[in-house]
Amino acid sequence: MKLKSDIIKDILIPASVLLASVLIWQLAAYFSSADVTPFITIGAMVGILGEAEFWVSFAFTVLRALVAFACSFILALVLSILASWYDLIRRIAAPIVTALRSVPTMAVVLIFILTVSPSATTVLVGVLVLFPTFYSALLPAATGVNKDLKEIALVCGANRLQRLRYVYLPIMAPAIAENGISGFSLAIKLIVSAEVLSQTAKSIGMMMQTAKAYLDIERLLALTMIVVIVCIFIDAVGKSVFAYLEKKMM
Amino acid sequence: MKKLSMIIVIALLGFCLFGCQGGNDPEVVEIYVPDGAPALALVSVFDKTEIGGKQVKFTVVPTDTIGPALLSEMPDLAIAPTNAIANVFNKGKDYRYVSSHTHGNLFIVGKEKLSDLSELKGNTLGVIQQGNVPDLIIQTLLTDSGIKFGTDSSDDMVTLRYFQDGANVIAGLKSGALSFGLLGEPAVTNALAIEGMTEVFDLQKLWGGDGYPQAGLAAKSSVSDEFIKALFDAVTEAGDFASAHPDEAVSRIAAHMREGSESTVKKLTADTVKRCNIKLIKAEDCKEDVLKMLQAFFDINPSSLGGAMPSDDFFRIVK
Repeated sequence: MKLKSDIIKDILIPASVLLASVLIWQLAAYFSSADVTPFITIGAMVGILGEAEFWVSFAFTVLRALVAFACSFILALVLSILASWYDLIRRIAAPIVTALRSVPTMAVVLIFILTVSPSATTVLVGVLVLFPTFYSALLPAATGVNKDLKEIALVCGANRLQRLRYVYLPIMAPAIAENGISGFSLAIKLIVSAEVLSQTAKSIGMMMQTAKAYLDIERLLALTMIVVIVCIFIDAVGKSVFAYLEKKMM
Repeated sequence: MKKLSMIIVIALLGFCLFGCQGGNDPEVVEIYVPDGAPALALVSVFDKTEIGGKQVKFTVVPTDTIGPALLSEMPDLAIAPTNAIANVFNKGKDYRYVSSHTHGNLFIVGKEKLSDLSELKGNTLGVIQQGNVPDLIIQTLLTDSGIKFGTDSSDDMVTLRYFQDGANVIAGLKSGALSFGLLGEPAVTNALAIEGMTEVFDLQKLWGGDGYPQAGLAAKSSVSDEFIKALFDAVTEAGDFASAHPDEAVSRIAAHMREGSESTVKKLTADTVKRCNIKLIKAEDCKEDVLKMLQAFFDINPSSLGGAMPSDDFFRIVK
């Protein structure tokens, strides 16, 4: 009974949603003058996957996303823990994070592109958008650590580093894992958008921009689908790894 | 009952999705013109609501939407980059090349005077409209001169750095991030207002002859020869309107911008308009120049023309 329910929930429903989306896409292509059907797009995707230029661009885009993700995540984690320890840090960080969250992404691109390289611009844009998101998600997890546990650790003579390692990080682990999983696919999306705006060489964003310039809609859609599939894959792998680790710890 | 209601709602949403494609009024000839210098090609007749006995509607659209508009076959006629017209023609869209209207308005500006393109080596050149005429023209000129170029930095090549528009190139020149910038009029005039900025190369002179057929008029087969002839006559009769009345030209462009968009053309002078190199040349007279330019673009990147040189019936000769 449980297996049947799992099959329906985890396979049949997502498969039905995917099938319905493909059908709507096919109908839209049929009725519009764009004429880019799912099958044409899949063909274009296969073609792109055979190009050396794609893999070089893909590698650089993923690298930029990794750098932006790592920098913003580590910074957010450290700052959220410090903010939970020291009220002054929390008060100083609050307006800065709010301001960063409010800055329009396009404005950031336009400002940075004049002073740093297009590649660095995309990473900076990624950090500026991801850092406030991670900080806002990790701060409640850091401040939510049970007061009694902190006191027990103090009584047992644990120093700050030991309290961080044996108390804070294990309790924050679910929030860290959840934000880490969703954060990396968000980073890829952000980096690709920033690459289009800043016309970064050797990037998926630039490949999309070129496809648009050459009115190659099949190629543009195919590149978009590749990015979507990569993000879904990262999400799925991350969730599976997290579920496995969670089971192991119990 | 609940399931039936859900199905009806989804079906209605579906009809809205497919039915939302606005159709043109078949009685009105829709003419699209991209913002910027190409808009000057027909600005002299923007005030007309009727040409050749047919109602006309001129719409100025943001530059980067003219290609997609042609792909969607929205306008009956459109001024568009020549390579974009060839591209959509090769994709089987019902547009053919009727006339060329702008013949090059591209210049390289910088703070240093140079005498030869090879002196750009080791420098970064900001380029607008990656994949379109400005990019393809500079790539052709550099290739023909045997000068290496690319997006990497090196002393033995010209580094091409792409920007969305002229404003970003100008900002880069101002801040010193760029040594040189490739711009089109009227942005060039704005750039030359920066202290120390000078015109380094006139790409039209480097190309040779009277320049290159940068933008042309594409027409659907449903548009009659009589209408096209009447349009040509109206444009010729209006003469050098933009040069004689630059402020009026700016107002007309702003007034005909597509709803929700704003023109980037804020100010013009007679001299700027002259440097936009606007003149109407019918297809039969510019065919050779168009093919020469398209061949050069095809040699740089076949995708710029949709993968092939256009066939002979690309040109529509209107006597």
